[in-house]
Amino acid sequence: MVMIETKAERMVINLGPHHPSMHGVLRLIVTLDGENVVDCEPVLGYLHRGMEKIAENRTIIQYLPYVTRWDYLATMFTEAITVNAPERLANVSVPRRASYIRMIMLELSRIASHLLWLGTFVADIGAQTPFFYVFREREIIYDLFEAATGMRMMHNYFRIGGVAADLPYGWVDKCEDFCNYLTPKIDEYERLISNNPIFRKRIEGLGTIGQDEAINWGLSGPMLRASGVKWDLRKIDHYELYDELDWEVQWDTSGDCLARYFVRVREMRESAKMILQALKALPGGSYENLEAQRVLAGPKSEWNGPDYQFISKKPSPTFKVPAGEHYVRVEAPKGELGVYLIGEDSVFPWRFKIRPPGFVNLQILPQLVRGMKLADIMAILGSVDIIMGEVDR
Amino acid sequence: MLKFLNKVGDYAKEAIQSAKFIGQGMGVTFDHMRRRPITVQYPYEKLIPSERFRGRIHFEYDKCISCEVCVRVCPINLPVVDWEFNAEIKKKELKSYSIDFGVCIFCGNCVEYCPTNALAMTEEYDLSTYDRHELNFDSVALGRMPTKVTEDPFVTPLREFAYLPKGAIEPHAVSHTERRAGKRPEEILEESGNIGNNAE
Amino acid sequence: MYTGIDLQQALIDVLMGFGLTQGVAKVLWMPLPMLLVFLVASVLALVCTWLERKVSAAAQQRIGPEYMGPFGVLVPLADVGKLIIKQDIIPAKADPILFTLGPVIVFISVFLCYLVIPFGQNLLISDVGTGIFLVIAISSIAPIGLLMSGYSSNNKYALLGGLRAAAQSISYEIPLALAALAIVLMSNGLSTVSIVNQQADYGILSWNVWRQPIGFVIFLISALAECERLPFDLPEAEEELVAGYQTEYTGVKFMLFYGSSYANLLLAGLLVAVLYLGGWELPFPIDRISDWFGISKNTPWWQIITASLGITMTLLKAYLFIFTAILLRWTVPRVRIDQLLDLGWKFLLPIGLVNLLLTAAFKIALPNYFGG
Ligand code: SF4
Ligand code: SF4
Repeated sequence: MVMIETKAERMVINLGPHHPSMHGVLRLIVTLDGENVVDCEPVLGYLHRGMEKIAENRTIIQYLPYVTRWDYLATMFTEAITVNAPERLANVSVPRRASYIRMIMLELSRIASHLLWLGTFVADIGAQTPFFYVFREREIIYDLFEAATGMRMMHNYFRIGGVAADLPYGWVDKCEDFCNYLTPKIDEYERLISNNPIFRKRIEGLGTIGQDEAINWGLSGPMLRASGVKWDLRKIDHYELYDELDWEVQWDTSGDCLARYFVRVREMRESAKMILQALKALPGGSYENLEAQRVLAGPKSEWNGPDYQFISKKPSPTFKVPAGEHYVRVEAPKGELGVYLIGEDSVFPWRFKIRPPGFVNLQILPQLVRGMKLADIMAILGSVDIIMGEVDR
Repeated sequence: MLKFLNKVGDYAKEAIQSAKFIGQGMGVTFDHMRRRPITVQYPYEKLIPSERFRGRIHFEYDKCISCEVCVRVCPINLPVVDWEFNAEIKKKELKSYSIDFGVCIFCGNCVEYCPTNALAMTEEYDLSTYDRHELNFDSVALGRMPTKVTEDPFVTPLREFAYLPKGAIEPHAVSHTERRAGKRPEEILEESGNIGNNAE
Repeated sequence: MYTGIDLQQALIDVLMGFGLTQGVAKVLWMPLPMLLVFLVASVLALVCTWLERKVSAAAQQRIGPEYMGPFGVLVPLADVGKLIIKQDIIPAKADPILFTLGPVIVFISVFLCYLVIPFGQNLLISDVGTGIFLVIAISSIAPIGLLMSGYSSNNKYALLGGLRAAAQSISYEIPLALAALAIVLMSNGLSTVSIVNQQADYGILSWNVWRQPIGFVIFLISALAECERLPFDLPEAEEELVAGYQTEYTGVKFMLFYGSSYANLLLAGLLVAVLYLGGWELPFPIDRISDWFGISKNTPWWQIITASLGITMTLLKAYLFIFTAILLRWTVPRVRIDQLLDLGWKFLLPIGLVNLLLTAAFKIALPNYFGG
């Protein structure tokens, strides 16, 4: 058979840093052969603010307002890891109530992050409408955050030894309302998205990561779980009081973008379930109940006991990071968020290394998109779920 | 031939399935068309900032003891505390105090750690000016009372989710006078059956 | 045969009443309908943009334009005003001639198609014998304009967008033409008027949708693809190509693109109405009514009523299609380029051929129902 020999010049195209679907300021240098991707090289650093260096000359108190700028969509997690690191180094205990409040906040934050991921992911494939729907729900979460912490995104709520303030009046009731409201909404998204033939065709079998591969690349979070590894730090590290709640690790085996979608959607449902449980099990119940019981039982009541505090002891502005070093991690919505902290018994940490999940997960992108179509870059990138604030720090 | 027909049949089934699911999706979007818009028509409607909202900082000159704790806990050491030691009364005398809200990130650390509560967060959030230097508030500007959404006759105030009555999701749907979620102390007492105890 | 209202003759008669010869009157008449159709098409396309905003807003639980005129109807006008006074930028290394020519070609080719769109028996500019074929032929000029602008912009996104536009138009023109061909087969003529007349007998029951359900679906899909609307908006896929071939355009040239894309959508709607939904015909045969009441078909006021009803019906049907297209746009994701071409060549084309074959067979077997 005679074949017409075609040899096209390859085109190098620069996606980003200002491109509609580059999730902030990621830059991809893509080599195209027609519509096919031959090579892809991510360029990072457009949002680098020296977060680790800043930490080295701030006290933990001073540094806390900064951390929400790493991953600005899962803000509670960055705060959690920033207080967990010195907390464990200094052996500060956290009251049970504080721990429950933290869990509720973390799971709300996880839902918020996954919701926004859902919106952008589907928008990356071309459907704009779910983006607006998820904002509707996310707005409610942020209203709840605002009522409890004073700000919608930059909470500055976690403190060494607990949280900055107790939950406000009526908050528990409204949070419950939200969880009950969320599940039908997720059903609605699924009706809109999950079975859509175009969505399925675009996503199914795309960007498949095998189990070994996922582990070898150091992936974490939904990226890892979608590849058939049942690895959730909440179950593995037993931090906070997650063991007291009844929940399952959500995972999938196929390892493609669709699996990642399903893992995240199921995680949202699971988180809503966990919050409902945590609200029930919250030691002392809602704020109004706790206060009423305290007044009722007088000054020497058990209600003033350590379990029912929102913070064990307010950290002094000169809280010293003890000498020593360790690595602390939490299961953020994007994966394993870790901090490697070296203290030398001074108010400033000597080293504050951040291990952002997005940065590590992003590594696999060039390998995944090679040989795919141009449009698949967006779908795969969307399914990785990166936040440049955290990747570049 | 049969194989071919089977294939055609499968194909047709798939096409019908696709049409069904696209229809299902359109059902969702179509259903939204009859729902009430959830957007807040700023600036005609405004959400009432929550009680803990961290807006512009209010400063009370007379309460300040010039201890500079606020400077030390601020991530960027922002507040400018200008004081002089008065030898006569053996105390620090505050000469001027200022915070530049063009730089402040409203983290609230200064307010949280101020020993005399001279600082407080207000609900004022619309601070924009044409000149960024106007955002550098001195002690007089810091001492002004905040503007309130609820007191503006041109604005319909809406309550945020956490302040709505139990079960309500949408601020447009409820009157702003309705009682917010959460029990009152007497209700809690009644529920716990402790009314007798209370009397002693 | 009943011909309905005839504006041309009426106006020519009036002009001749002023003492002009018939020739002069005809010349005077000529630019009028063109201008009218151009204006009407522009206005209707502007309505489409407003509808797009409102429908998308409603589907997303927003309000959409609200303060500019009642329900924000003046927003499209504001758009036009804004785009007209905007600076016209030609990128430094672009080819200025091609860059300017691109949008013009697209615009002209779209608006030319309105020549043969009938709003009533005599309410069209020219009932040319080639009718529907003319539309298909002219509308395939548009991709040349897109390719031109994509190529001349000196922008890689634009180039990719232009190439995609060309590939897409070529592959969807064929199923579109095949679907239209089946209709032509049934109505024994390419003229749009005869196509509508052939659907006139039994009101809604005689519309072509019932006789050509497969063709209808093929036509809908290909029309969406020809209009470059989601799920087939690959040439301007925002998430992939920023804005495709429009990336470098601003001001008036952008307006031409934007306007012609909506005019194209409207055109597709009108074509759907004409080909499948009985054009200006009402769901029930209006002639029967006039017979009932014993009104002569040539009574002037009755003629005006039928004409305005006809226009309303055509627009209603067209806007029904547009509404569906808009809602679809805000519901579904975008297909990938290879899937798009697969759908065109491997699905619509064979099905279109089968449909044509079936139509021919039915035409022979059941000549009464399939226009023998
Ligand atoms: S709110 Fe934060 S940033 Fe602003 S002055 Fe106070 S401590 Fe500094
Ligand atoms: S912390 Fe309070 S009292 Fe001390 S200087 Fe600041 S404002 Fe004044």
